[in-house]
Amino acid sequence: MSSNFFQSAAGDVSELDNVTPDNLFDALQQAIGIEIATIPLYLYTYYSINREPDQNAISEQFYTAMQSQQEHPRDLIDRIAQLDGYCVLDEDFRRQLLKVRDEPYEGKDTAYQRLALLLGAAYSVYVNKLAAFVYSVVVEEMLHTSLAANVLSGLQLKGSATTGAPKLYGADILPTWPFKWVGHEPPVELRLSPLTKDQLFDFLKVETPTKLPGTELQAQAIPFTTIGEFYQSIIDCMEKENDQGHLSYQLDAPQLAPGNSYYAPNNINSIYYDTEHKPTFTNSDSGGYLIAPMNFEEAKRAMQMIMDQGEGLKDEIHWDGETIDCSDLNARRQNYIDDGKELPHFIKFMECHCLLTFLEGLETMFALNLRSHYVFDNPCCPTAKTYEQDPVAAAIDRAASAAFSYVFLMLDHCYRPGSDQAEIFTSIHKSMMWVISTLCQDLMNQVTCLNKTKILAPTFQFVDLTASKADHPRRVLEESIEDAILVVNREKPENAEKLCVVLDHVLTRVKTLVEVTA
Amino acid sequence: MTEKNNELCPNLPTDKNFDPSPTHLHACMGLNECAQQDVFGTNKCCGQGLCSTAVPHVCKTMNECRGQGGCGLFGSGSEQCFPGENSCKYQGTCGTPIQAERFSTNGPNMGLSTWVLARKRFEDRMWAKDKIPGDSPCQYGPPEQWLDAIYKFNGYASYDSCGASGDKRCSFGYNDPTRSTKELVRRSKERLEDVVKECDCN
Repeated sequence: MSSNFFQSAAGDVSELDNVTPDNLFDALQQAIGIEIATIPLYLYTYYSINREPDQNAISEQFYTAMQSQQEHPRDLIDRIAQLDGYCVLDEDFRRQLLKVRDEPYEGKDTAYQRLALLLGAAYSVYVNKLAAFVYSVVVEEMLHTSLAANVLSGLQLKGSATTGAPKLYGADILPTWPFKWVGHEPPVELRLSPLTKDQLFDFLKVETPTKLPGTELQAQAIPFTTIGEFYQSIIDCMEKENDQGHLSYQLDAPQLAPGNSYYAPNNINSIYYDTEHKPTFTNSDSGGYLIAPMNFEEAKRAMQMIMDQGEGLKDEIHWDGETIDCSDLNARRQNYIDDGKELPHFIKFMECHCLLTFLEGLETMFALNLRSHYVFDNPCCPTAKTYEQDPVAAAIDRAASAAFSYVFLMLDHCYRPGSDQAEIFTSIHKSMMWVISTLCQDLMNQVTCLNKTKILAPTFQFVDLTASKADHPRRVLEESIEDAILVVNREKPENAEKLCVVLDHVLTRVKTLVEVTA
Repeated sequence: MTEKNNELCPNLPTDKNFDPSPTHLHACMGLNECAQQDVFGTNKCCGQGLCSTAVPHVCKTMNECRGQGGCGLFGSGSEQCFPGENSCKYQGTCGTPIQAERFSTNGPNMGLSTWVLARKRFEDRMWAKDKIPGDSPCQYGPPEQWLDAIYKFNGYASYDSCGASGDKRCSFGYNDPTRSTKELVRRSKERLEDVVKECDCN
């Protein structure tokens, strides 16, 4: 791995004073947009993962393959240990594999059975771990969105009539797909995709601590090469203004303050069970928290947290933007573990890439294709038009997009004076867990699309909840679900009754959400 | 008819009907204040109820009333310090009842048994009221398999709590789920006093 790869790349961008007092407010709004865009990107891939693959069926396929190949178990395990990504497996799992290899030989069949059991367990553990990592990053991106909005809310600069007021909802705030990452140098286009190594590679591009290869410049927004550099540029600008006594905060501006249970670093979806079935947490209990800045130092601390959680400790991570070296990962990871820190997003995604590489390597070795056990066959890469010819898919997708948009409208309300943040946050939590998850996981997994060749997945499009004649934006969301029920009843797919039951449940839940205005 | 519970507690009846009009709402086995306050309306003593009387729900923000929220799996560290003690509708952080296998995901009780903490807090509240809590029917809380059985008998599809990360008691074919749960409870009891202190301090 070359750590100096980028010396000749588009490094000049970061050396410019991209963020100035004139565009500081725009820069922070752009930062909010950057954070928001990552949420559907990661969620789409997360929802594509089947966290409970059928271990028995997978073991059975390995067992059959071993019987067919008739290779000596010891040789098989030696070859497994040579697979790329093997080194990132838990020590305990590797020990169990070696135990099978080194125990007294009781015949091929017994060894095959034991090895097949372990390999089946590897899918249960590592697919679940991979999903937990992706989800844990989603949780922290929600935190980063709020932190960036907190830094902007109430920010004042001497000589400027503007006071920072973050926007978290709107056609220009929520991303459309494919997403051309505004301002990123070199240009990066992100797509919604089920779990693949290519998609994980794109996640690494998003979280990269080092500039990506390429020099093409755009001029649509404030240019940046990495998220960390963008925040550093904001910090530098704010620091200069602060040093001159030009920076202050309007103290009564709405911010999401700590201590109100708005943010929790872990939940059941960010854990996985290790080989001994002990729950393992992918975010640290003390790793991230809300900061509501009242001065530059607190604003800097908030942005530093975003940088540390995303790309990690800058001095310790270099990436050439092209290669993944799994053998290097343990050492990188250990630095964080030794310091009691949680892994940054970049390292988590690199580990995900290595784990998937290992699992796919296993399948190649045994001439198996097990992907359908752990990845739902969702489309790559849906846009607003993908489901146009499929009324059921389009209606359910629109309901999911409306629910997604409503979450950000509620979040936007948290930054408006006089809002009841606690009440809104109960509804945001409920929406994420019991509206969006139900629609995008439980329901969509039962719906085929694109001439029944794929399983439906959400396009996370912006839905304008404020332009309708309906009484209030929540009503537009309700109407989108009612419309989905009508379409399902009209089109009568095979499982229409079941789909309507789920949609009815979702509608009931939506009606308990807080009503926010346009 | 009884259901074996993999040594997590004695065999318990699974063929009884839920009390249609419970007099007191609480989140789980062993958390009832008085006689005849469990889900069957037949328990004899404080702390000896067999199961939750809360309106069954599976997750955070779904509880109907005060004191009905389960805990663990979702919610902030401070919320997860007080299982079954939510003060308002929608403020619970997980489903009820609280199965023996459930653990907290944030705060001082992170990775430890939610039911053990709930029971400890319940006992403290009872002693403060000069009530003597009886032994819980299951020492570690209700096992998931037993909850499944009684809920199915009463017409529910099944009992489960929220989350997509897999069965809380599952094994990988070579683990013993009962042993895992006992281990969870052992760790939880060892840390219990410290957890309560840290929770109260926070």
